[in-house]
Amino acid sequence: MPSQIHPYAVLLRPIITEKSTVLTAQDKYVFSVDPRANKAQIKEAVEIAFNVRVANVNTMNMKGKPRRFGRRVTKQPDWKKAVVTLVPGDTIELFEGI
Amino acid sequence: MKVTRERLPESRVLLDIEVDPERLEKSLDAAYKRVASKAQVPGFRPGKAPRRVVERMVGRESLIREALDQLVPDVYNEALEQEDVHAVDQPELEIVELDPPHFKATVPVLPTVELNNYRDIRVEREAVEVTEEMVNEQIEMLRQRYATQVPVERPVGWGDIVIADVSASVDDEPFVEDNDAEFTLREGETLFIEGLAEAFYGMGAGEEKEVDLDLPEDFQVERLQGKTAHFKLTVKDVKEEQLPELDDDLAQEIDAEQFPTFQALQERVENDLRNSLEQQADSKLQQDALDQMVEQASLEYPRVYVEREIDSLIRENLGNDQQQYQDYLARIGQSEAEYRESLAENAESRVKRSLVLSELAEVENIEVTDEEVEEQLDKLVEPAGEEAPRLREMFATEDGMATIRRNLLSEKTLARVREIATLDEPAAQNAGDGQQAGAAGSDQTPEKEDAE
Repeated sequence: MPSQIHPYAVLLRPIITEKSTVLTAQDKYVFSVDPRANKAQIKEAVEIAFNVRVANVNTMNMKGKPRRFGRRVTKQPDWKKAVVTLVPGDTIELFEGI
Repeated sequence: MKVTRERLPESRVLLDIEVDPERLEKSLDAAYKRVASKAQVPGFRPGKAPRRVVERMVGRESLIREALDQLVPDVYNEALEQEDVHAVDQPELEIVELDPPHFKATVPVLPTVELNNYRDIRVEREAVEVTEEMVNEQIEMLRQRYATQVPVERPVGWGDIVIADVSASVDDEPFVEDNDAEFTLREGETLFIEGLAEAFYGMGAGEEKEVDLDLPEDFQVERLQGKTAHFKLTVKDVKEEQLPELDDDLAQEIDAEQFPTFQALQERVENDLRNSLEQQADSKLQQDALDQMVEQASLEYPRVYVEREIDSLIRENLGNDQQQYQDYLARIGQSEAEYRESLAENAESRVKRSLVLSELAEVENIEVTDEEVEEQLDKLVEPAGEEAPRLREMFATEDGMATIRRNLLSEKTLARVREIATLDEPAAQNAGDGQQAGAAGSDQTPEKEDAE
């Protein structure tokens, strides 16, 4: 992965679930990101895309869920989840324009 | 909330209601809570999704619609109160705009009744005249009722009563056996089958006779149709109907205490006739006067009054049974709408009359006191004799009293209608008062003093 990368290539989509909604109270926002991106790239992408300051990034690699088609068992693709903590006071309007 | 009202014809009011955005926001919150518990949003358990998420899922518009289900009735009722509108039925609602909500409600309101110059109405009472012919007719009817049957020693004639044994057979098979049959022979009237009456004519008591008569093609017993029947007739008695003499005896037979002489009877008949004619004249006068008042009054009433009156007409005619109603419609071959339409005119005139009467009762200050109700109640149960106290208790419910009160009120009002229509003073003299009454219209207080 090239070091200079467009922020929208890193950030795939926001994860909007009950859990992620609770986390926004702690200035944490959850994204699905390109599995090849590292924390530094995610930080840079979020800062550019939403014009906020990022305090911390935590990532985890998620296993794709198994799916069954009759007898054949397949797997959804693996993906990388990033929990981005912003500097207190900054917010992201996650629902805007989506 | 912004409300403007506009008066429409047929006694309706148009309310144009605009809801404030803050008010909408509050009810959107409530609507969200109702929707959220049902909405399935991926990533959230039911009822746990935040409002923004739900709003995006279902769309703001449908959330507003959900909110309006509650908001509209609330706001509508407030508007009624604020504008002091007395609705008599459900409104028709039309939503003009959703965000912020703006809707129009067309609601039927209490009718307006202006009697105008009702005091000028004069109706000539029909003169009542009892002629000698009318009295005689009544007496003749009495006479026939008190006719006596006297046995006579002569052949049977028309109008006589015959007591006879009759038996008949076809091909030696008997099919009629009637002993001591009693019947009246009348000229031109068929007795059982054609020719039988004629066969009796001229027979004397104790005489026997055998005749052959053809049974008709449409005889009630199928296998005997068109055959020839052999009749055996035995006359046992011949009686004659004798009309009583028009004398004191007849009067005494009818009621010795009340009518010692024929003249008393005659007077009574004449009086009864006069009374009933007087009553007819009274009710005609009252009807005509009321009709004129209705014609003169300016009435405005909602369509729903007529519809309700049609409902009650149908109930009066056919009862409450839905099945019976449908059967009746099928029989006369009309759809429900057609049938209702055919009743509309009648219903409308009933509505008008009742509106005029209740307005008149108010303007003329006609009231029924509690004592009058009690009196009427006593009168009602009086014929029951010993049972009266028990019966009285049955009637003395709130509903029963209210019905009696209503009836008394309408009686009194109708009496006033007659009074007004037959006032001696010339109409012109009253015109000033009447004008004022018309102008006062909705506000009756000053008019009442004039009416005294």
